[in-house]
Amino acid sequence: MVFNTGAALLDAIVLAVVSREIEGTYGYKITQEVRQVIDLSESTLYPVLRRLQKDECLEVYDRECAGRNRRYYKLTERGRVQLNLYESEWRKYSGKITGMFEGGVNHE
Amino acid sequence: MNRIEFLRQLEVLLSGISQSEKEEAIQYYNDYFDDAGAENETEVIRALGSPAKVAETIKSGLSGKNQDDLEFTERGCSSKNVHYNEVMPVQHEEDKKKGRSDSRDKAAQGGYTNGYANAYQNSGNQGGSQQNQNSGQNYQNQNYNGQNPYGQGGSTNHKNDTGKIVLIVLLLILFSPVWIPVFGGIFGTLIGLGAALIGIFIAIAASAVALIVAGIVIFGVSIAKLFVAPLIGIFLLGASLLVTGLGILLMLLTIWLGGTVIPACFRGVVKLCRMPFERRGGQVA
Repeated sequence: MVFNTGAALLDAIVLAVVSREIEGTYGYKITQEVRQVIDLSESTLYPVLRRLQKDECLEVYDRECAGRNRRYYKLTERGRVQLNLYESEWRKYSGKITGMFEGGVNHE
Repeated sequence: MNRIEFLRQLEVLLSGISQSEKEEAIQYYNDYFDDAGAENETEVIRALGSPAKVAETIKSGLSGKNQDDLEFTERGCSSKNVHYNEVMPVQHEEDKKKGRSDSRDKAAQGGYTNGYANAYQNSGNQGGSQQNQNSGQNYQNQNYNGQNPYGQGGSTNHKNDTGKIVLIVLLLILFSPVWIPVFGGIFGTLIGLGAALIGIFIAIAASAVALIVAGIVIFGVSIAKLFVAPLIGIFLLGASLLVTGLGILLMLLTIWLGGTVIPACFRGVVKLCRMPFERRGGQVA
């Protein structure tokens, strides 16, 4: 991957990953899933999750799992709105760039 | 280093932040190790890097600086300003020598200051950090010291400019009996020229309209005359076509003048006017 992932795009990816689980999902799993699309270091995600939580895009709750409490992250209503915004912005952005690439090919 | 060691070091390094933030972070990484499974423990520790790096990431996230400072690339997240150095392992060894209970706080404090100094100082490498720890400065001092030179530079420049402006204003006031009539004359001439141009334009436009109207009228008369007196009728028909043709030519000239020449003249005049007005602006201020 030669393109950098900015903070906003990383937020968007994290929100998208969390939104796929209705019941919410947990830090390790989020990290692994985000790492399937972009290569980021494992320590990067905690501040992002914490910030999204403070911005009320994510909410946390603890659930009993195998004899211990595991912290789950779940999308809030606000997070969903934010994710929709990111998705539409991404469609516009990627559409323009794809259009430019393909437009360039058509003219030749 | 095993998981327990890693988390303990992280906890020590995070002693600068609020208790709730610290617990939150520790719980997250505790969960992280649990979910990764005991068999992946070494792998996770390797992937996370040093506790110092993890602590730095957590703190820069809290300070809200990460939006600008962190860059997420294919090589993972990195901060442009932060150079993770080997300070922490060194301190950890110091820890061992001195005995834990008493030196832990100090080490933590050192780690905290080092972390921030690194984050805010471009050149803050190992040497600078160590000095930091010794003198016990906090990061705010570092931060503001770094910014001061810019502020000073700005103010001296400003002073210089003010002096120049005062000088120009004085000169303008002293020479006002000379330049006010001169600029007034130039201004008046420009307005006069502009008015003349507009007058000529209106005259040409009116002539064009008059010629076209006359041509159409004569054309109508000539058609009527053709039946009464054919020779005069043909003469009038020719004249009407000639007059209409001239009218159309003048109309084209009008359109060209109105569309191209006059706007260009106005732009030129505005440009000319702007020069004295800029100087006058200086005087008013």
